[in-house]
Parts: sequence; C-alpha cells; structure tokens
Amino acid sequence: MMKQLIFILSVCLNLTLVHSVMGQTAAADNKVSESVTFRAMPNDPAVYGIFEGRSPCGISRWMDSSMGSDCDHLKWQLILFQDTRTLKPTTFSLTTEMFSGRPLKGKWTTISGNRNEPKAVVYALAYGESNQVLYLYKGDENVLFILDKNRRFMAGDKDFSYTLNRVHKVLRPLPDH
Amino acid sequence: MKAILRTGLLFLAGIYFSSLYACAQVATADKSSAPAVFVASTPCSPGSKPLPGIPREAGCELIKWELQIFGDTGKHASGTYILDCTYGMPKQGTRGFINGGSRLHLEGKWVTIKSTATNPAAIIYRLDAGKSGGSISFLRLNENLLHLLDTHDQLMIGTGAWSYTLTKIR
Repeated sequence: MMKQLIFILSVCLNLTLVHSVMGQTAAADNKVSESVTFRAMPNDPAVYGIFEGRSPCGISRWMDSSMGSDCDHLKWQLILFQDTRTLKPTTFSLTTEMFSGRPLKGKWTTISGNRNEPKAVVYALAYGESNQVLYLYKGDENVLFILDKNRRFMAGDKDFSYTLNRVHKVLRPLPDH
Repeated sequence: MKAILRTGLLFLAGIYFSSLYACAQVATADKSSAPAVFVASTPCSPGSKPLPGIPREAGCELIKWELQIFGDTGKHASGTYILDCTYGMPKQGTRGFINGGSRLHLEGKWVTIKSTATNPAAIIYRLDAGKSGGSISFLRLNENLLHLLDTHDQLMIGTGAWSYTLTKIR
C-alpha cells in the first residue's frame, strides 16, 4: 500500500511539474541566436559582446541624426569592447542607419540606475565631439534596453522595440549573383 | 491502517485534480473597464515556441501579439486577460505572414508576483494559460513595457530582428 502511495504521489508531482512548465520557453531553449555576417567580425577576448536589434526611428531625433519621414525602422549593431586583463569597459562601435551609416565610436562605462531603480546597471556610451551619451539598461547579460536622455525606458510599437539582444555572429560567404 | 492510507490517498488525489481543474478553467474576462493593450512582434523558433497552443512541428519564425489586460495593474494584484496572436513564417519584404499565418486565442486570469531570486524589486505578471495549460510570464519594465520570461523567470533573448518586449499602445 505504501509503495502504491509513493508511486501515485510521484506521478502527481511529475504531472504538476510538466503542467507548470508548459506554455513558456524552457530555460534551456532560451539561447543566444545566430546572426549571419558576410564580413569578418571581431571575435576575441576584447569583445564583451555583440548586440543587435531593430527599433522605431523616433530615437534619431534626439541623437541629432534625424532620419526623415521615409524611415521605417533602424537596424542596430553594437559591439562592446573590454580590457582583456581587467574586463572593464573600454570602447564601443555602434552601427545604424543614423549618421549616414557611419559607425559611431566612443567609450562606454557602467553607471548605476535612476532614482527609481538605484541598483540597476546602466551602460553609458559617450560619443561625438560634445560627448553626448546613449544610455542602455542592462536587463541581464544578453538583453539591453535603450533608454532616453533622462534614463527612462522607451516605448516601441507593434513591429519594433528599443531592445537589443546579444547575438552570435556566424560568417558566411557572399551569395553568388 | 489501510483505511487511513486509502483516505489520505483519496484526499491527495482530490486536491491534485481540483488544482488541475482550477488551472484549466477559462476565466471570463471582466470587460467592464477598458483594458491596457500591449502589442509586439517577437521571434518564434523550433526550440522556443513561447506560447502554449503552438504545435511543435508548426513553421513559426514570427509571432504578432495583442495582449489585453483587464484590471488596474497599478492597484490590483490580479485580473483577467485576453491574448490574440498570429504566428507563422514571415513573408519576405512585408510585415505579414505566408498564407496569412495561424491564429491563437487565449484568455484567463493573471496575478502579479513580487520579487524574484535575482531581482528583489521585480514585478512579474503570471498569466494562467487556461485550457492550454501552463503559464506565460512577463517582467514589468514600467507601466508601458513588458518583457517575456522563460521558465526560470529569465528574460527571453530575442534575435537581431525581433525582441520579446511588448509595448502598451492604449
């Protein structure tokens, strides 16, 4: 009788566990995705990470690179570099359609969050001659959220958001034409 | 002794099936107040079909979400929701789907859970997925943004094209 009881309890427990995880992506399947590239990308310990995403065009206004009314969305590729010995932030390269497609380069640092969330980690990317700053909220190691000048989250739309995801770049040969 | 065990067994089985029934019930959304509506276009892959009701073998690279949350999320810890999604393979050069995509409709109850192991200040919305079973969880970034979580309440990692952040449109 005791064996039967243990068996039924374990079946119930297993069913409950299965029941509870259905409907969401299992943590093991939540992985950094591959992103194809046709040119060699930096891939050494000095690269902290490569993050990509697509955002609405609204941010271009306050980054002083207004994109005009025909802008549908912006493609972001951010490469963050670190000191290989201390692992501290060093430089970055940000490529978007803004600034005529020229990569934006500068230095980045980590700072604390705003008054509402002082323990949050925010990346501050300084660029341009007047040292303008682009703020990124660190959701975790793999997900960053672009913030506005006042370090507040930015709202996207039904197609795009102000979120950047860590990607694993995969080099492929240029397709034949 | 056997009678006690048998009674205990029946009691435990009763509790278990009651809890399953409660989870499987579809809550009727209280439509008396205007919902908060969140939208997004998110990835979908064979390994990470983030919604119940999408068959494992279904071709799915994109999901378009419309999530209606009933109940004041700022004041209450629970309420009801309606989730309508279209999923499938994206049609190149458009924002649509090949053959229009497939539809998914879920409705049920949501509750908030405060604090996670890694973030004590976090607020998580847990949506009971109704008849489909399981749950869908979002991290509240602010009153306008939600981000989908995995089974360990970690942020879902998007791709270079799409992310798992939902934006409030009204």
